[in-house]
Amino acid sequence: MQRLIKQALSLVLLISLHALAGHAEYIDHVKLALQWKHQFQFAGYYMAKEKGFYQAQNIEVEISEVNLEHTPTELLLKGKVEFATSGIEALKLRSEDEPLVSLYAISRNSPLVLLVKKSSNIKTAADLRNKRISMAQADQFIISSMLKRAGLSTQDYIHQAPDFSMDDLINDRTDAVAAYQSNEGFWLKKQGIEYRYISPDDYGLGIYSDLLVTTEKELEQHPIRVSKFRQASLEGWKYAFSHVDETIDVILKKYNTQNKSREHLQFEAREMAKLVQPLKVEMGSMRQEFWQQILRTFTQSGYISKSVNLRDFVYEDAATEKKLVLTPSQKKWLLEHPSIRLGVDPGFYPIEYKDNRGEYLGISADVVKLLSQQLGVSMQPVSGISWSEVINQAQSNTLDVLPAIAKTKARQQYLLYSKPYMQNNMVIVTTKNHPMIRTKSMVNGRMVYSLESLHGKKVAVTKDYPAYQRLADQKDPIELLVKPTTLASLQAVISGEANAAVVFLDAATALLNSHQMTQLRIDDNAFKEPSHIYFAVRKDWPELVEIINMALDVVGPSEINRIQRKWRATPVVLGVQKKEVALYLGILMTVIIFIVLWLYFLKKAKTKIELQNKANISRLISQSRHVVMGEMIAILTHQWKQPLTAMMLSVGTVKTKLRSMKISATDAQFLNTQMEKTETMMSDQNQLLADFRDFFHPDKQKELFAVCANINSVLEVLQGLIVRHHIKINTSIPPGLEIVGYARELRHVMINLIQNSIDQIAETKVSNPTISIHTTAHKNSLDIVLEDNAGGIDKSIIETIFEPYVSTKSLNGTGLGLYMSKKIIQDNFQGDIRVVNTRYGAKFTIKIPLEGGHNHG
Amino acid sequence: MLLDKTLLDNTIFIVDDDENILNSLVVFFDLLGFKTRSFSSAVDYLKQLDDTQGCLVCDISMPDMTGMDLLSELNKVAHLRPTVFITGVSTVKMAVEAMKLGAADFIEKPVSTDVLLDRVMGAIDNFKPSLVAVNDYKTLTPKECEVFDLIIKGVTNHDIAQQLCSSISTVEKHRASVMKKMNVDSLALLITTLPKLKPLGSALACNA
Repeated sequence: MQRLIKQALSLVLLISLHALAGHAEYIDHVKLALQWKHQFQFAGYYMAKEKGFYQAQNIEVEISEVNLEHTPTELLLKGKVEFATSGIEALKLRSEDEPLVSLYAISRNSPLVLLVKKSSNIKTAADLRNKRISMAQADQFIISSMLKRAGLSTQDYIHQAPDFSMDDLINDRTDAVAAYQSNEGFWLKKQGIEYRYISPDDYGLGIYSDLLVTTEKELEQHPIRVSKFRQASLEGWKYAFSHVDETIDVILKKYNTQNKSREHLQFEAREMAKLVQPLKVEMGSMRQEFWQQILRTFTQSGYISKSVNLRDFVYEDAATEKKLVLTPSQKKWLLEHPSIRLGVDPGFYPIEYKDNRGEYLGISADVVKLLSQQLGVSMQPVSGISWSEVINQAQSNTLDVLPAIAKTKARQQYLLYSKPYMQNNMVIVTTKNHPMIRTKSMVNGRMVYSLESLHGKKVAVTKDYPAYQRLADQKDPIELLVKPTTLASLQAVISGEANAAVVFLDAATALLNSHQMTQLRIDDNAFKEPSHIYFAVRKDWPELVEIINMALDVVGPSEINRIQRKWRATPVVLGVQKKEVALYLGILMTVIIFIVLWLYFLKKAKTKIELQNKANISRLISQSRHVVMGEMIAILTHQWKQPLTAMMLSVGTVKTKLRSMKISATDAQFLNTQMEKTETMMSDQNQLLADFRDFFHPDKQKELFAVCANINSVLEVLQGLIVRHHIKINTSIPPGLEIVGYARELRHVMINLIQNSIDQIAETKVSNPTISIHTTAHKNSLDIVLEDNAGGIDKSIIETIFEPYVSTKSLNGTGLGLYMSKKIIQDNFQGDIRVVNTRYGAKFTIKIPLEGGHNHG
Repeated sequence: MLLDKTLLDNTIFIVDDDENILNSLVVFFDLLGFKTRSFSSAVDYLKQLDDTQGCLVCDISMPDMTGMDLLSELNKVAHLRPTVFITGVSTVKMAVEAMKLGAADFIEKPVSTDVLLDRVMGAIDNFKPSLVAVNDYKTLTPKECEVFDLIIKGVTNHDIAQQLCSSISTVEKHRASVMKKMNVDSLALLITTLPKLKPLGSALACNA
């Protein structure tokens, strides 16, 4: 019993609460004017009403179809209705300063097309020259834009008033009718008349249509009502498209003023579904870029003659998208400060700089552009002032914003900082040949950075850059050399005026590249903690800091990252090197860089592998390494072929030029020899690349070749070294001895072995150095024997000499040469290679089994 | 190096997306006395086609449009230059494809200037008969072109007359004129000019 009473009580309570709520809440009455008679084109609104979506938002909607006196937008502007549907003409009205706001767009293509009879021979818009076109005033706008694109001006066709039925077309009183693709086509189809449509979409006039529009006044006075009405209508649209049959039932029952058949409405629904925005796009959403494109198109075709501020016209629902939402006071502040003066560093490439024409460019310049668009204020750099002057003027509030600045204590006295938007560390730059400054060292296996190495050294810093203060604050004295620009700081290091420079990493990288300062080296971060770049705002404008922070949030880190990547990847354009001298230098430099890179890569590969090698080398690891190396080599060979090609062509060009230059014969001879040496070096490099690639990716064919010629060609290549070390070469190989196999591979092995001996000779400096090579033919095999008198191989490594990464050489060996040689002989010749120490030196024996196809000469 | 004057009448058209290689090639051919024009993409080259006599030196692997794609495009239009490919990645398959498309030569990168010059000169030299034939063909009147087209398809004078709605004697006159202008005296020889006219692309009636 008690329970019953309780339930009754709670029921009463609930009912009274509902009643209370009903009374307390105010129902908004709004009117929506449709631009045509009731049909599926407006299905979303019917369904929003029918399914109670409006009611849920406490809105009651009166939907009225078009009347002949006033267009919906006229009703809207007169204040007779709160909302209206519209085509693209709303944009034109906006350009004529009518305060319309577009809330969403249902279709992404123009539903408006020109219908022509299939029997008419009119296939494209251009075929309409001197033809009769019937269209309403509102339609003229888009249709004539399309015709103009097809090359037809208003004089080129006859404009007829519409009869709003298809009779004129059917009875050939007109040639084309502007009509809705989703609607009128049906009449023709029904009457068995074949038609085709000419769509503005095919002429690049993709437009938004089926807009919901309201006025600025409505938006200002009832922003919440607008948002609710919009949301509820969109819900209605989604419902309508997912429940087409139910929607058609509703239209037939309640809105069928046109007496359309179910079939007709179904046709309309199908056609309309083709026009709505793609599924992935949120129903109704509008993109600024697309509006901009539409605006451009119509401005070009002359139908819109005044600029339109799309930010005013295109409604952005704060609740659904990540957009900049400013408070009224912030908006007011921005209105009061429409133009903001920037203090920029003209030489802070690539962060911000000015090019030859004084244009403000760089990463920060791009970010500024985005912010300026977001905020709708002009942000222009004050021109003609240096960075030092910028810093000075910032203190007197004659500059408003400094878009790219690092934080220092002193600056915080007179500037307000935004949140950081990118990292840009300061680095120490030194010359390569003075490695006395080492900022990086390993302590207990951990990398430690230290400025200690700079103590007592002369360090170049840029005037008014934060490095100055930070270095001046160091406990131990560092002699600072203040230079006006980053470039000047770097040049001071080159000239020896300073031992090092502390500069921003990005700036240093860019300058080192663009000025080819190859003698400089970026050592490492100067400071433990990363440096950031901020926006700084004058002290008396705290409002702007907040606004900039919000705008930076909206722009987002990924966009800023994208901009950074873009600028860091921008190649620096160098001056054309016309003079021969520059050409020589260029070639030599590239050759050097190439070789440095090559050695660097090998060293790196070696150290990397040595680190892994601490444990026992298992076969598995060495195989996987093999694969990794293979991949690396494949990439590298491809990458290096390009510069190698350019270099070879350049050297060839210089050689060609030399022939016509008026210089003494001895000079010409000298230069020619040098050029030829370079060429040989480069083709060797190329060969090496090819060999590496072939070794790791065997894709080669066996051939019959002469061993003698093969080995002679190796000796020829190494002739320079052989002569330099006064080595005597004894060979005893029958000239007719031919074997089947990979000639280039054997050549490679021989290069390795001979080179190895030469290196050994160079190291031990034996008197009377000799290398002898001979062959011994057995019944089923061939021995190629190479002996030297360089003292032999160290006993401690002779057992492992053919294992990878074991080197006979104290310094420069890669430890790969002999390993690769053995691999080649084993894998590709099914042979073996062995080494023993003789009385005088090392003796390598290559044993190659002989099969059919060989020939002992 | 002194090159033959008539050889230097040729413009070397260079297409490579690698700026360094492009520059090196331009400097080299410039130095020899050739006129050069450089393009950093195949698309640029296509856009600026004209009938300047010369040789196309072209990279194969380029973004947007490869050298192969370019050549097959060029085969559709009148392109009166031999094509020499220089490529970083060369496979037998690629070389075969290039030759099938009608490339004059196929060189692997890196290439020395001597070899390059040799190959380019060879390509220009081998292209000469084509140029002669094309120039001959261009002297034909539209009517003669039609007749030419039908003769090489083996149509008899009688049928040609019917197809072109003219008398046999007129056709015979045209036929004689075609033979004279193309510098041949038999049908067999006339047919041998056909491959040489390939550079005309679709401008050649029977290719269209």
